[in-house]
Amino acid sequence: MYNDVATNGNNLEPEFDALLKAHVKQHTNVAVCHQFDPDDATAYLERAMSKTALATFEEHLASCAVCRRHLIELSRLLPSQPIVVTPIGDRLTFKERLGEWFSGWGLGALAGLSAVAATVLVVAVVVNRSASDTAPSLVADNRNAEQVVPLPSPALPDISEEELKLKDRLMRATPGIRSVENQEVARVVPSAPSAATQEPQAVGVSGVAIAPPPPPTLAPSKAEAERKDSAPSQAATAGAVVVEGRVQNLRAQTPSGPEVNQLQVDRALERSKKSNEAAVQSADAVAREAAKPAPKLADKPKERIVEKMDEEADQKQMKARAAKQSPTSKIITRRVVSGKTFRQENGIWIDEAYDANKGLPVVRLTRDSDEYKQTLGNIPSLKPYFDLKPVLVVWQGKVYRVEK
Amino acid sequence: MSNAEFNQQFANEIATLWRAASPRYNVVEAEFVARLQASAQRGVASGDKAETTEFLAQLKASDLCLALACEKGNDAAWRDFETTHRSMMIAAARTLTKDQSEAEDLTQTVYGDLFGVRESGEQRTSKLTHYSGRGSLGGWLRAVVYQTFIDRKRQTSRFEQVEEVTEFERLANKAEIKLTTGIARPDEALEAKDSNRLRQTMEGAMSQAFAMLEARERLLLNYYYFDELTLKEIGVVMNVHEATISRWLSKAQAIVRKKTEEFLRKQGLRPAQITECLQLAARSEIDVRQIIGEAKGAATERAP
Repeated sequence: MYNDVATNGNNLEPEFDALLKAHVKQHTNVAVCHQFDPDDATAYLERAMSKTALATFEEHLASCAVCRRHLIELSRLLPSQPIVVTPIGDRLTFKERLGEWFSGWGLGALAGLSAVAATVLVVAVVVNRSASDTAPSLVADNRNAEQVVPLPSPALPDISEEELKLKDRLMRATPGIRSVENQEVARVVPSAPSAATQEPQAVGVSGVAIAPPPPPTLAPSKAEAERKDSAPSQAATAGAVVVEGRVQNLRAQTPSGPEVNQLQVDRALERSKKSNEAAVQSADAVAREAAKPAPKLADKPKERIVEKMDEEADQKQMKARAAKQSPTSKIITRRVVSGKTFRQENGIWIDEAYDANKGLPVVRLTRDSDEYKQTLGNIPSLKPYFDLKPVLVVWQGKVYRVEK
Repeated sequence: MSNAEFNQQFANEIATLWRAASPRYNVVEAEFVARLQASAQRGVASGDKAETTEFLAQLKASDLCLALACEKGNDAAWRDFETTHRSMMIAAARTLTKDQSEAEDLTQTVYGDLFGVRESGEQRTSKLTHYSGRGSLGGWLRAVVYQTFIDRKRQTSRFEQVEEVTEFERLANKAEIKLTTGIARPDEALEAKDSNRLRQTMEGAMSQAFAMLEARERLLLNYYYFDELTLKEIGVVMNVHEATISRWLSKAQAIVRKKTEEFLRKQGLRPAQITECLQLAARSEIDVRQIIGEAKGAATERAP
């Protein structure tokens, strides 16, 4: 990769390159040299020479092909490539670096980055504007942790009476937040790592109290649908609260919101207030941007693409957050095998069609046992499922559970 | 400089190194300081204080202490040495010899040198005394294994012209012959004289441009054009990331180009003539490239 950069990056013509090569070959000293010193060689390879010694050594190397050859051979004995760091003295100054960026391939890279940044910006604005078209209360995605987003005051249309009461209590308890609200209502999105893992209940409450629901116009994403359909036990875990980051789940898990300890609420708000104060100013700019009239989306495919991107981002975010959660939270992986979808829970692949409430007869099989082989002999179609091991698969009115 | 003076002048550096030296294997501070002084005297010939300070700051105190203890014959130190370095030494020897038994034999020879079996008078002389502590002890041992291997190779092939000189000379001579004999194609016979003059002009300009390069830039061009290393390989040798090498190389090439053109301009050549000069000189280099291609095959065989 860098070979091309080196030879072509500065538009060095092949003719000149050939001349240079011939010149170097012609003017290299090939006289026998017995100055190879293991100590110098090691210090040179490990960059452990003083500047003066290094200059002297490099001066010799530049004119001694034999010593260079020894060094090259010695460098090939190194077991692995060390992580190299350019010494401070060799690094470019800001001016040099700037110059490099605006010349040759640096300019190309800059142009590429600019194009990517512009695309991202356009997509972000389109998403925001489409959201503000349909749901004025929603300005920013609640995936961002510890984010304060100013909203127009007629927000929070879906918040229940209880939640509004709780919100009032919170506002009374925290004048700082109230002052923000007087200008533009602030929405605090609960963050995963800060308070959620330690005090999920408190965070959940604060989220319910002041977080608006997701945009009604955007169809629930696939991940969201899966989350809604997932077992109640999963949704009820505190870990899942953070993974979802959604108001619906928060509501589901905090039915007794108004009875929550005031102290917990205050503490959660205190924590969020500190980080919010710094973000309020930048959030103002976002609000102004969102308040501009949104252009109509000309083409539906673009909307779908944006939704799809959003879904994918959601899923990634969910997985990443789930990984950070307490050990009790489950990381769910899905897999499709021969037309059946399986989800992995606690190391077991479970058929999506499996429902414990149906009370289907369960056939327990141990891997490579006679019964296992017999079953596979009778129903060869089960083989791809059984290969998942351990697996729980529903087949023709029976549940087959294969263990290792 | 006496011990006391060295101690006094570099008290801070010595104290830092002594603190960093762990484990110490019964090496006392005075021995350690004496070793530091010997290393500094060898490493900094000028004895300049600032340079000595820089030298001392780069030393690997623990490795130096281990080497010192091994020199003294400390059992615990040798056990640690064995555990830490033996397998690496055998691996390096195996890479060089491409044979396990030869590798073990080579390692054993190095061990002998390190232990100091060859006695001068009543005192054992260990090769470890040559370790200055600048680089890591492991790296130094690898270099010693390599050096021992080369020495053996020289001894075993006494009647052959060892080193890379054979190939180097052949390469250089062939290139020179081809270049001095000039262009032999019939269609260019008439232009041969002019071309040769232009090529010589170009050579002269390029030599002057080369002389203006810094040692590192010349070294870099040598690694790239003479030794034909990739940027990654140069990066390993120079202990710098290949991206940096790429940048340095581009810079060196650009300097040579710029200076060569400057010198040609000073000789009264106009831009169009400079371009023509470059093209004519390059045309004759096509044959040189073929020679280089031939020599490259031989060069790959020369590696130990």
